[in-house]
Amino acid sequence: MPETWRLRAPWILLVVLLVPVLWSVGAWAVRPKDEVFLAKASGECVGPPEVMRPYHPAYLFQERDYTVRGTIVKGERHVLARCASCHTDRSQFCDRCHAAANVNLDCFECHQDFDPAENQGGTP
Amino acid sequence: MTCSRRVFLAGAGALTACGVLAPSLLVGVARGSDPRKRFAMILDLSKCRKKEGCTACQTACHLAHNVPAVPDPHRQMKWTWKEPFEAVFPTQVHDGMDVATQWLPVPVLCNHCADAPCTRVCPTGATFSRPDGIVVMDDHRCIGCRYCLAACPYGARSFNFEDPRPFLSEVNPDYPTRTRGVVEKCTFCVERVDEGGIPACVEACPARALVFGDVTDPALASLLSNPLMLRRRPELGTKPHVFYVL
Repeated sequence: MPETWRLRAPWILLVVLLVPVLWSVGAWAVRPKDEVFLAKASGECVGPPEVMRPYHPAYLFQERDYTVRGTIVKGERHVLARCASCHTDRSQFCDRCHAAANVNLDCFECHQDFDPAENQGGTP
Repeated sequence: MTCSRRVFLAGAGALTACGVLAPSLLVGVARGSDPRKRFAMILDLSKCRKKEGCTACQTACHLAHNVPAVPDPHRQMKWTWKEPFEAVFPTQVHDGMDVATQWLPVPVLCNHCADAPCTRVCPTGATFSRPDGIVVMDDHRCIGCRYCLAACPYGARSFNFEDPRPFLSEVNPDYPTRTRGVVEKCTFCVERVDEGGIPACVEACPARALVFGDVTDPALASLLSNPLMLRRRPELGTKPHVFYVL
């Protein structure tokens, strides 16, 4: 009996270690493949969608560091306030995609979308 | 390939020169505040005391920067406010001083020290001195450790113990609010100064008691040449750039 368990033990260990890997592969395979429909913007974007989609966080962070740690220059291309001037409906644009991509961000804790009366309006 | 000692040394020297010069070239290209300027503020208390009970500077500042009115005195948020003279200048009070002056309400704010202790202790570089001398906060980098609160000898900093938004009755849409867990303070209104403006408190003062400007500017330099100019706790060597005239 101990001899057979000694032979089985590595295989059991392998299965146990593989479970989380297989689990995540399975979850990826059955992920919802519905396309996230985002609200259309009212104006023209500062960049093409295929660039803005992956790189908008990098652009925003770069502009943020320039603004906060350099000199404050209003009217820059990649600032949140400028995004919001066209993408007016945050819940239908930013929030929808961030929810689908499981991204949690804290930009809006301080910037945008706040009015003491109705919680709308905005700060840059 | 052979390399003579002369060629090797010349090459090494050229590389070193590039390494030393490159950062300075980059700084020249990078955007930043004007290092030739050094901003300072002068508060004329003789003009200020004429408007008894006036809080125009505080109101204007707190409105412009969405500073919340937290009722709990231990968690109050303050960028600029008034303190009695003897609390602001404890070493200047003497027995012969009249009581009215001892209790004179003096507007206080961040002193934008040339050798700011808050910037030295900040572990993340969230608070720093700009080349033009203004000490600013980058709340994106603030981790809420409050070392700066402990380091500031003037108590000019406030900590957001809770979400400030519920305590705002009015919001200036051109300025962000803050979040729980970050420190904030007077910024000499960098957002106005960078556009050529003056701080909100200076603009709002009905007695014209506040003067803001560049110390290299002859107009401000002549005001600063007054030998009776006071600075808060000069013995600490922080070199405050908020000056008071009694």
